[in-house]
Amino acid sequence: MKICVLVKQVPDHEAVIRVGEDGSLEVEDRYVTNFFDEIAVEQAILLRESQGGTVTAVSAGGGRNVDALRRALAMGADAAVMVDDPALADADGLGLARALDACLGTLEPDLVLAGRVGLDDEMGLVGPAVAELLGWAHLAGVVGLDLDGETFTAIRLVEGARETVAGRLPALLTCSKGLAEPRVPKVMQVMKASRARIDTRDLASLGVDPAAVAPLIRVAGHTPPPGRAAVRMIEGDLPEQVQALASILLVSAGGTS
Amino acid sequence: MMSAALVLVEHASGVPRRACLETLCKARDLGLSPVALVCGADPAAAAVACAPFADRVLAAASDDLERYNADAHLALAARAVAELSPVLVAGPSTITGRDLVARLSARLGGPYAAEIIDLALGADGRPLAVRAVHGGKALARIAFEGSGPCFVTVRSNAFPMSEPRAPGPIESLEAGIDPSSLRMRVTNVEETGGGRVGVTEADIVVAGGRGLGDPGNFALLERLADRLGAAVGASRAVVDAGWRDASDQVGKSGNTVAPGLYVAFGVSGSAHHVMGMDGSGVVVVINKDPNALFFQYADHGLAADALEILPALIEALGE
Repeated sequence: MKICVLVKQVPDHEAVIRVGEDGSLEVEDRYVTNFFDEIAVEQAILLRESQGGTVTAVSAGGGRNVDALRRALAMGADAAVMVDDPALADADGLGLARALDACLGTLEPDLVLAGRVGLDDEMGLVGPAVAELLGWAHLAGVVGLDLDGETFTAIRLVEGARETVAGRLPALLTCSKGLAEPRVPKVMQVMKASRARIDTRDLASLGVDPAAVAPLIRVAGHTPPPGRAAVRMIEGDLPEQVQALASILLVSAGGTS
Repeated sequence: MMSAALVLVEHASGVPRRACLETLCKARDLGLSPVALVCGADPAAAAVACAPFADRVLAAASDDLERYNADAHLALAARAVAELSPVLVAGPSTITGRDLVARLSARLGGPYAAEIIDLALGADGRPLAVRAVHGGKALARIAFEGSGPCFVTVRSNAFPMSEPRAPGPIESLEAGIDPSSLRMRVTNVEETGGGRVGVTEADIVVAGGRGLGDPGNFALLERLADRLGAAVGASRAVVDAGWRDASDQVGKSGNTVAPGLYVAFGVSGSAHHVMGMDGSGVVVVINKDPNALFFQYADHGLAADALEILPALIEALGE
C-alpha cells in the first residue's frame, strides 16, 4: 500500500491577521500545519502500521510548506516531496492541484489523503481538484475508514446524516475531524525530521507548463469584517433577566424569517 | 438573451437547502436567468419548491441519485453546464456541495470560490464575489478570470429570499447514468440531529458549551431549540469531550454558521468558536463569568448561570 498525504502550512488560529490600508492582508508570522492535514497524516500512518506500505507527504508552493512536510516526517511519514517553482507563487487551488496531479503521477500511490479544507483561505479546492485531474474517486468529509485489499468502506459526515460509502482504490479521501487524533511527535523525531532530505521538484521536471498553473481567481482586495456595536448587558434579578432575555429572543427570532 | 445562473440544488426530504433558494433569488436580482438542477430518486417535491424562484427547473430522477454520488451528480451537472453555458454555476456550501462544485470547476477548468457571502456583477458582466478568509478575520473580494462559467458555493443566509413568482417550468432531464460508471456507493445512512434543522441551515442557533456542566443538560437546550425552531450548536470543548456530535460543532474546525439569531449558553467564546459564528445577525451570550471573552462579540449579554436561566426561560417562552 502506497499512501500519499497532501499537507500545507497555515496561520495558527490565534495569529493576528489585519487588513492593511491598501487592502492587503497582514498575517502574523505564526504558522502551524493545517489541522485537517495532520488528521490525514495520522490516518495514513495508522494504515501503514496495520497494513504495511509507505507514507509520503506531498506539498506544493515551497516556502513555509516545507515545515508541514517536516511535521509529517516527525509524525512518522517515510518520505517528503515538495513541488516548488516560481510559477506557483501566485497559483490558486486549481494551479496547485495541477502541479500535485503531475507529482502524484510519478509517485503512483494507491490512496491519497488530504485535509477537508485549509484553514487559511478555506477554499477546500485542492483535494477534489486533484482527484478530478487524477481521474479518481473522491470522498469528502471522511470520519471513518476501513481498507480491505482493493476496496474501502468510509464514513462521511454530511449535513444531517452519517453515510457509509463503499468504493475501490485508487481514491482520494479528504479527512474531517474525528477520523484520527494526530500524534504529537517526540523531540528526537522532530530533530531528525528537521535534517531529513526533502525531495524537491520543479514544474519542468514534472512536465507541467507554467501557463497551466496561472491563477483563475484574483483577490481584488480585503476588508475587515463588519464590526459589532458594544454589548448591552441584561441587568436585574433573575425573573427580570429571564423576562428581558425572552423578549430579546422573541423579537430577534421574529425578524429572522 | 439573459445569461443563465445554474444552481445545483441539494435537498433533504424534498426540501432544498436554503442557500440554493437564496442563490436563485440573488441571481434574479442580478438580472441573470436562474435555472435550478434538481437531482434525486424522486426530485419532484424539491423541483416544485424551487420553481417559484427559477426561470427553469431541470429535474433528473434516478435511484442512483438518491444520495450524493459524485460520479452521477458530476455527469449531470456537466451536461447542464454544456447545455446552458451559464455565467455562474453555484451550489450550497455543504460537504457534498463543495465537493461537487469544486470538482466540476476542475473538470471544466474554470475559476472557483468557496462559501461566498456576497455576489455582484462587474461592468463586464463577470461575477464578483466576497468571502470570508482566516476564520472571518478578513473578507476577500474575488474576481474571476477568463470568459467561461464561474463556479461558487454559497453560505446559507447570505442572500435574502424574494417573493415567490409564477413558477418556472419543470423539465425532466434524462438521468442516463451508466451504473458501471459509479465508483462508490452509499451503503448505509444514519440520520443525525434528531430531526432538527442543521446548524448551517438554521435561522436560529442555540449553542451550548462547558458551562452547561453535563451532557444531560443539553436536553434543556434542545427544548429551547424546539420552542424557537432553532438548531442546537456546540462548542469545540463539548464535542471533544464527547457530549455532542461533531456535526453540531460551531467553530473553525467545525461548522461556520451565520443565522439571524445566535444564542450561546455557557460558551466561553474562544477565538476558534467566534470564527465559526461571527457572521451571525443578533448574538446573545449567557455566561456566568462576567469577564467572559464572548461578551465582546455579543449584542446582548447576560452574566448568569445558564442552568438557572434555561428552565426559567423555557417556562417564560411557553410551549
